[in-house]
Amino acid sequence: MKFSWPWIKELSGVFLSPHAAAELLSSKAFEVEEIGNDAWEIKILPNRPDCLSHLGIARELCALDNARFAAPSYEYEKSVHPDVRITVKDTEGCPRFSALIVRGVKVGPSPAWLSAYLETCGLRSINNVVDVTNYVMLELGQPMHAFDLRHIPELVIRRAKVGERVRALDEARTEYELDPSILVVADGSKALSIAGIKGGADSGISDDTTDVLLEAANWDPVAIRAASRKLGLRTDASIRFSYGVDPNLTAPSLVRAGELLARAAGGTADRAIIDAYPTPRLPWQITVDPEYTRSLLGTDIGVPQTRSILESLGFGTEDRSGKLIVTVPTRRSDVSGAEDIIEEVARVYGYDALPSIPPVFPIYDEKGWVAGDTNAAWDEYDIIRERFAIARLLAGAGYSEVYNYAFVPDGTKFELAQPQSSEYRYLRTTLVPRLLTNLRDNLRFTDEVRLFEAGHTYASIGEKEPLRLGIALARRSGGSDVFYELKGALDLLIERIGIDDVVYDDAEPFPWDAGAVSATGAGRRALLRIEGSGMIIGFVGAISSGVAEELKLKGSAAVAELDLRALIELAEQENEFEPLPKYPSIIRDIAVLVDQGVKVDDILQTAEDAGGDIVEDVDVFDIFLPTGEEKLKAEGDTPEYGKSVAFHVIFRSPERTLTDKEVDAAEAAIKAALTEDLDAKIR
Amino acid sequence: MPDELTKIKDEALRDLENIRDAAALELARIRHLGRSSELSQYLRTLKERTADQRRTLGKLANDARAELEHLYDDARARLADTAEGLAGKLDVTAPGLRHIRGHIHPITSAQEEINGIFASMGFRIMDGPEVETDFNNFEALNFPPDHPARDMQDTFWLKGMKNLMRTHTSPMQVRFMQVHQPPFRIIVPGRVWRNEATDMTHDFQFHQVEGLVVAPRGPQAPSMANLKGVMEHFYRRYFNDADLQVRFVSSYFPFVEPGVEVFLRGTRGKLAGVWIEVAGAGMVHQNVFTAVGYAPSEMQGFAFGNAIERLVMLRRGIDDIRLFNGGDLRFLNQF
Repeated sequence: MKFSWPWIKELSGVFLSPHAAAELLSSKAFEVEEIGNDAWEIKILPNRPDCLSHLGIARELCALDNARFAAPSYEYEKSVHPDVRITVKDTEGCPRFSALIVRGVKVGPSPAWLSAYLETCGLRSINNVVDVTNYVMLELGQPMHAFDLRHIPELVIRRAKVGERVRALDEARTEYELDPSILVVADGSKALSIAGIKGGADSGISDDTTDVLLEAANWDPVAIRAASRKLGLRTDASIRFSYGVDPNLTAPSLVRAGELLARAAGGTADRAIIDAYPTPRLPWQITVDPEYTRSLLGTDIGVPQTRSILESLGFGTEDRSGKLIVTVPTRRSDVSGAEDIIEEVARVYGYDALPSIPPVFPIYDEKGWVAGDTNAAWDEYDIIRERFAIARLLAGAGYSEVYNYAFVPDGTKFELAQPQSSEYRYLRTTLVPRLLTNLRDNLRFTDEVRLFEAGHTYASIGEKEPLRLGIALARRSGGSDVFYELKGALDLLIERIGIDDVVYDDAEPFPWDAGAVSATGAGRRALLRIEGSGMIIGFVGAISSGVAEELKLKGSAAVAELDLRALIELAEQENEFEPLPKYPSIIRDIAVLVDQGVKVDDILQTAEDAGGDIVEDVDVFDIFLPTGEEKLKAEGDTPEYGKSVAFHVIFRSPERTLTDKEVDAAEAAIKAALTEDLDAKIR
Repeated sequence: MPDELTKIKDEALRDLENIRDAAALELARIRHLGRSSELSQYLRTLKERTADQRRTLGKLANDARAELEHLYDDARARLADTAEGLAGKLDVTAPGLRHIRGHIHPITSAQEEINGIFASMGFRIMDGPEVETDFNNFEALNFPPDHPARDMQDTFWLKGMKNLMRTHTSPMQVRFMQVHQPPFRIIVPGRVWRNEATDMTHDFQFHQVEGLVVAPRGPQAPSMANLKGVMEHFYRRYFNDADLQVRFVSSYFPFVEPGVEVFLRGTRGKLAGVWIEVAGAGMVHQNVFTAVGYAPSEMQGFAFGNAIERLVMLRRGIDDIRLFNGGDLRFLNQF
């Protein structure tokens, strides 16, 4: 909010340089965001409605500067037979409504002393009457409104009727449609103004106004904030009322405005104010134990200094058998507990004087989890750490980590009510689309891109958000090798995590996020499944040329997505030591020519089964798709689209040294099975 | 040393200096150290001397021989290397074979470091959902409905639902305390969202690390001075600056009372000599303890929240927060 430094200085009487004053306020009260020549921007947070005024800042500054603050006092009396009848139909929405009639004013331009301060604070001068109401708001913090007395035989404070309309007192005369959640000030028949937010065009001051009714009311903060949001109308008044204005401020403000109107517009204020205030707000008391103050702050400020600080801020204090009884002024609605009092003391005392002391704690928690929903807070340090380890592994393998926004342009599940743009409309359910965009964008600068990202996706509310790991690879030129390279990275990762029963399953359809699957080509993708349990832990595929074209991704790309939490939980058992082999192995190489449709996995599985117990491992070392000419050279009944697969078979027994004879027999059995089951040609 | 011996030694050394290949070295070795070398002959002549002379001169001659043998061995090794080098000399200034290296996101590295610092102080590291309820994100944290404090955190609400993207990691305070009894100390690193305009220092998605330390009231219950101590320790370690200073400035967050903003001033980099705001902190508000079901006035503790991006930007000299979510490897590969 904008403040005038000369005004603050005048009201406080302090002898401080602007910078000293700003520094005091910033460190102990409110951040002074900007110091202009006279205009200051001070950030008043919602807990301090009393300081949305120059008087409030002046009072604060005096307390911080240890100077005496001379609070102005305004005497008033209440009218017994008011000229205007005021009926408050909603005393919860309007705890107090006060008014003062000023007669014989001459509406015209404001004198310079009046308009100057307003302009420093960013308010335009309108006329002397309206300017006085704004001046009092800025000075004391009470928003006010001036009615032309001719238009208001009586005032009724009530909820708006359904569809009731008010034309606002702004340049455009904007018409607002109201509803019963919104409070209005009305005459006998129609709403005159939107309570606490904006005056109405038809009852305001005009050039020929002579008699003025000044309104100074108090409104329920919740009702005003709700109405202001509903109407999309934030005004100087609505901000103050939503923070919460002291109801005891209405009468002094009216007296002050009467004084000023007499000076600026020549009117004469009535001696008495009209006041509807059924339940006056009285100061309240809070008991503070000095021992608690010491414990909460970790330092001892001492009772005498505590009391003097509180009194400088306008609190009353009394020492009652070692406890401090603090009386809170009604403007400090933010102060309701002992901690609030302690904060007042601590900030004025100065946080700079607070020592820093290491806390004393048991080295581990004694009680820990007690009861209730175990899903409430996720005690997943193991997963967090494993995620870091995986990041290091992937970085070591050449992949760089990216972070993307969790919002995507397309989706079906959760949509944002007010997205920043159509690009960020839905909550992501998969990491794949953004990773593809990352691939494309980075291919502009380099020939080869390797990326990964780990992050939450959003599948359902109330359950643990899936933690996904996406890995992606693209090369400007190249073919299906990107798929195998990415699969190599997956194998590295899965081995590091310690899972050895993952199978790549290409049977469609895939129970995986459609947004990820549809980016890849049919026949060029697989699910990662745990053998036995059938549990699905991920998805990998080569990007289809159609998707690449649509994305303008120039090159070949592959992408994988894994369920990171499942993966890590599967890996919970540690790798256990296996004794080093005692007996030598015998290795035989076998090469077969098979139909292209035969899967490498089938060949290896057949070999392993046929070889019996003494097969320790089967390991592919070459896969070759013969081209036309080479195909012709192959002898015999070579299948037309054959592929050649060569692999080592490692034979070993943990109990003895194998003989050539038994290995020969096993090798023959493997070859026979391959020929028989897979129609393979042994090369 | 007798002149004769000195002469023999000097000649052997002079020859050694001029030798450029292994064959010449071997010839010289035979000439100066071989069976019929002058040195060997000299040693043989010693027999004819007195026992006393034999002892002194014998020692001198043998020492000279040992020294020369040593020098000739060195020369042989040196020549062997050179011979190899002539055939396969390495240009050590040529670049090494390139290994592809990936990079970890700077926020990931920071989180790992931050977790480590707090774990070393006995903090537990917790995680939780990013889509939250109004109760956890606001109401239980003492932001009543239609309270203007809610305007301090512009919120992404989900369409047609009462859920929101959490605006801070503080709802984890509520989640954790609902199922745990003090004493405890936790941190919660995590992602948060604010629906506000983006610029060099604001992005609508960023990370925070939340801290919460609570214990029953008593002489050793966590105090504001303890908060300052923990903050100071953490920042000094994170910024590796033992002289870094922490300063509290009065502020307002509904879920703490007293509430402060935390400023740092370090001795180098972006923090050198200036106070920079990095966090919000304070003593946990009693209304929060009540909302999670603790008996009133029994517990005491502090909480703090840092934007991780801000810490990384200060430490690494990054000037645009939006780079973190940009996916641009030209940025990410610098870390």
